[in-house]
Amino acid sequence: MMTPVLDYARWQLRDHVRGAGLVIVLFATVFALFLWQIAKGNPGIVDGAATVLAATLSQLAWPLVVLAVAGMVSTDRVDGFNRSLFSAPVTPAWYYLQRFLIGGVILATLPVAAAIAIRLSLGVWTAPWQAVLGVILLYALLGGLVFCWSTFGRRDWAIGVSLYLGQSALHGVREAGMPIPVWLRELTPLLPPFHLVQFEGMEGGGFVGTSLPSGWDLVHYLGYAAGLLGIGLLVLLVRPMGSGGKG
Amino acid sequence: MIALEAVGKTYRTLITRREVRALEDFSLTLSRGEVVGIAGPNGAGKSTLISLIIGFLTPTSGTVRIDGRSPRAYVERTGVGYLPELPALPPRWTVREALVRRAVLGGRGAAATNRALEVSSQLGLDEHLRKQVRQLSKGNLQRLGLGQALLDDSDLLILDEPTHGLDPLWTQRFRELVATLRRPDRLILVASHNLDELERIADRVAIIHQGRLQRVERPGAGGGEEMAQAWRLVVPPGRGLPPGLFTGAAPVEGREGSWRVQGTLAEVNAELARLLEAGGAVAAFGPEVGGLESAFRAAVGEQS
Repeated sequence: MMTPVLDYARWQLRDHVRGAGLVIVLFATVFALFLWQIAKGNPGIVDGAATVLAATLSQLAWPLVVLAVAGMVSTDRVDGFNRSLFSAPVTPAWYYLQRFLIGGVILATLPVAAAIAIRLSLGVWTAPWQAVLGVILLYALLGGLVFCWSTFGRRDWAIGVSLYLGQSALHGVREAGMPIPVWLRELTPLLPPFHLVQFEGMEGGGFVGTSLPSGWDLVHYLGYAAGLLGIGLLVLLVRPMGSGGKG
Repeated sequence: MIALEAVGKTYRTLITRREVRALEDFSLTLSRGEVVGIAGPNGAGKSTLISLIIGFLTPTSGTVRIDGRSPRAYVERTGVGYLPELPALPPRWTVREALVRRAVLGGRGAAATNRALEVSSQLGLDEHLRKQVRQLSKGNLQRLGLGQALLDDSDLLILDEPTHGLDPLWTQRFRELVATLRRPDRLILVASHNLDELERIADRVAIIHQGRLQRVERPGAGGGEEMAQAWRLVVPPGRGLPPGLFTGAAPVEGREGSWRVQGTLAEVNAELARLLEAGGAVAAFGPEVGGLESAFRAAVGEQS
């Protein structure tokens, strides 16, 4: 049934706020104080506010995505919380889809929080909207990957981190024209296309801020993200929530 | 309401594919209006059976139907009141939060908080509402789990070891509670090691051993006249038992004049008549243990 799940959205929002949301607030506070201190001795930093925002997001966005989604399904299953949740008239797939989407909303506030921190500390407003889209796309793909693995078992975060860093490294090596084994070169296009979202995008030797995929790249990116989320939801629909007599 | 037909469940290890048969060829029909007990030694398959009924597991063979639907379809449409053997809730949730959240998921909507507080009062949890789950004693956690099971007012109530961790006072209150929860359109299923408890509350008790249904007893109807069981015979001190009567009777250690005898109801009545005819006297006579315990021992063997 959908109605009880919709009613439960505020509790799921609360869970995300207590998790990733709290980290975002803490980050914004520390970030604002940090920039304020730097700006006192280096007024020129104000001109590079956009670069500061981009550099910050490129370092912080992906770990926060992993933090928000890690264990989303597996913790409930392994720790046995699912027994209380799903004796209610609730479809697990709807429950977790809603929880995943609410996590995306919370993560989307990260660039806004960073922009507010820059505004308060440096006195300049750096429009974060392109970065918001970037975080949403990153959440869809990396979050979708972690969510998908979470329906199979624990260590979902480790899979997410490994694939994210591995794919990024491979893409960097390829871009640099360095030699890599044939099997690795053929494997690279099969990996999730994380490189299509860059918060520190450079073009023609100049800084362009967040670069987002377009055209077929966007289709490829969104298709991959939707596929991972779809597999996760399918597992939730077909796989029983228990794993043993008492588990 | 629930129809289990030739249900089997086999667990297989992921790597070696080693098989463990938790349930085999299990058939039973359970109706609304009943309180049905499930008894069995550790590892008999009680929790697996419950997981199959709620749809947390799927059977390897056979079928489970609740009102004609698959268990998951029934639960996702109607919900069940369920107390797991080991209630597990996020440790940082407060008692109030755990109750309200479950009431919301149960479809209580705006009335969720009121319903949660109502159940909290019913189970004596009011003074613990602000405590986190991790701060609760075993007994209080059990009452919280029971509270969550009662929130929906479901037609199907499944309680796995409901008095586990409860003190004698709350164990007694639980029995009274089950009596108030009975209604014609509700099925209450109680799995328990405590045969005395099942004997008091259940209309029928299914005894499981090694994954198989051994027998179904009706505690209220007694163990059956044709069934041999143990009895306690007490004769006045110093009188003893005349030779040739109650062969196999064993004296109860430390209780003069007390004897443990074995036989069907007809057999022991005949022996008692001969005892009285022979000039003997009977100070007291009754079942040595409850009828259900005798049936349980007969079904699973003394070693269990």
